[in-house]
Amino acid sequence: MIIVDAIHKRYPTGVEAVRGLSLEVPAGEVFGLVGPNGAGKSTLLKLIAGLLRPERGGVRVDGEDVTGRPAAAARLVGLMPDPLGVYTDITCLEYLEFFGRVLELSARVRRERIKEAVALLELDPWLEAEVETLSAGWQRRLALGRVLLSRVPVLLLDEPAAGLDVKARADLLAIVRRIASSGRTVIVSSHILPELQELADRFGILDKGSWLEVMHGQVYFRRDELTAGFGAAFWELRCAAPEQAYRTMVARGFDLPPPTPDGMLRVVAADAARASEALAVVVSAGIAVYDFHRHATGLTDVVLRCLEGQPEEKR
Amino acid sequence: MNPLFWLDLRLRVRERRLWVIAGFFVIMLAAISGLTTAVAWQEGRFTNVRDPGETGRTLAWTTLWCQAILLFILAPLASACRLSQEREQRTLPALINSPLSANRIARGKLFGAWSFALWLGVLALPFLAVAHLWGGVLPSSLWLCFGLNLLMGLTLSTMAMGLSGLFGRSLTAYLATGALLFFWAAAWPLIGMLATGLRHPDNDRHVAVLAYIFWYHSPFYPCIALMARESGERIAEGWWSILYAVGVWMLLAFGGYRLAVRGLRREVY
Repeated sequence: MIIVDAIHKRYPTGVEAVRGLSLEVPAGEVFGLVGPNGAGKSTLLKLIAGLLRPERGGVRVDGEDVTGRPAAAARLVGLMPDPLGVYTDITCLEYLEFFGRVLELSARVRRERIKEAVALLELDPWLEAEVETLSAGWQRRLALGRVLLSRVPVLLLDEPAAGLDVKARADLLAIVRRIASSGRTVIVSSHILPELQELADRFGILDKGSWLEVMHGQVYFRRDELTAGFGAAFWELRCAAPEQAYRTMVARGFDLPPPTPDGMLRVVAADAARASEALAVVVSAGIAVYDFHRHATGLTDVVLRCLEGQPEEKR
Repeated sequence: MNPLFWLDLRLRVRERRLWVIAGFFVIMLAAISGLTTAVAWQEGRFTNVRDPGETGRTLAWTTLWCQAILLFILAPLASACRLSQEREQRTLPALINSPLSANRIARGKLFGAWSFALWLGVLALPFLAVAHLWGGVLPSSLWLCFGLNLLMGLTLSTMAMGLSGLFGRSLTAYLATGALLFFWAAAWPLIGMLATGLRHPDNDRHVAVLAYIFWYHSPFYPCIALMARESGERIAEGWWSILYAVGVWMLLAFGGYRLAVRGLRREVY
């Protein structure tokens, strides 16, 4: 379990990268860290890995204080940073062998773990290739292989899919999903939100070093809350007379904003029954309905709204 | 084996430029040996005055000076980017987020740097062995100078690695190392020469003090002193000046190592 307690980090340049952040990630959970560039995501991950020393607050991993202690953190936490930082003038096998030695694994254990990592990441064809000849996707797999050698219970992945094409991204995220299913705790920071939405169990949105509120008093949200639309999903309606339909529904007590310029109405309803009632009101007013469907709230919608200062409760 | 040393050895063995440099050095020494031997042979044939000792002396001191200059230039060059390069290619976080302590990382890097200096130094061994056979130089002077040259190479490697721990860019580390070496080996002794003009004309003790401050710790001083000894001159201040040089080098090397460790520890800030 990771416990980040009111951590505060100011860089020597004066930039306050993290401002009193707290976070608890239970064992086995995949936590998605979201936010714009410069929000403090990488800083938070480095703080958890002990690579930065906070001015205030602390980090405990599985009960051990790892605040500013990278060697202590290394026994519990594996960080795949962004940018990756790989030695380019050695072969993939040498790279894994080197980090096996860095982790002080015996020759037998080292061989076994390299074999396992190579099998999981499908690195076989590239073992004798120099790292600099690999594409970005394969380099990321290799870096992930390095993290996997340590068998630590916590993985911190900073932008694991950055700069990858669609196929490489999908492959890499499938691997992360497989790793997560093995019971490890994973914190993933990513800008690629649709994939992250599929991967993480819980999310938090960072901006300017602080958590953004998603709903009143709530900064983290689960994937099921997200897919349920935070208890007030949108239904999108297209009809022959949007203005008339809008007035009719407002008169009947429905909550919705005026139609969009292209004539679409967004009905806010707690559940499907309430949405059906709205549809019935429009139909009974004699307005022809062309399309009526539930708008699936995505992580991208939530993040954009929160960054624009419109958390879910204010919509 | 230290994993960083292991990696360094693998990389260096594959490094083509290293073999080119080594080859160039060996060819140069071979050419010098060949010419020296040819000159000796020719002199012996035409003048009938054969002095194998002179041949041995020429060969020994030429080789030792070539070795000293090569080590003075290349040993720090090969070490000046050891840590800054890790920063540049952003591989340091992965090393720091590992069970390796800053001391072990620095030691691994240091052994890598030393192995290069030793490798360059050892290349001169066959030529010195030939010089030894020719005679003309006291074996103690010959092998002491060889050892001191190696020690100088190791010291400079350690200092350069220490400086590289301070910088995030290799170019800055190279420039800082170059500036330090220029200051130590050229500017500081020159300042010392100017300073001797300020001494009291009747007080030789002042010269000795100035020599300790400005010259006796120079990377080339032991070589100069031992060469002078071979020419029949007395080593200034006896063997103390050489011991003093070695002591100062040890201190500088220790400082360089501590600087490297401190640079690594500063990564967590």
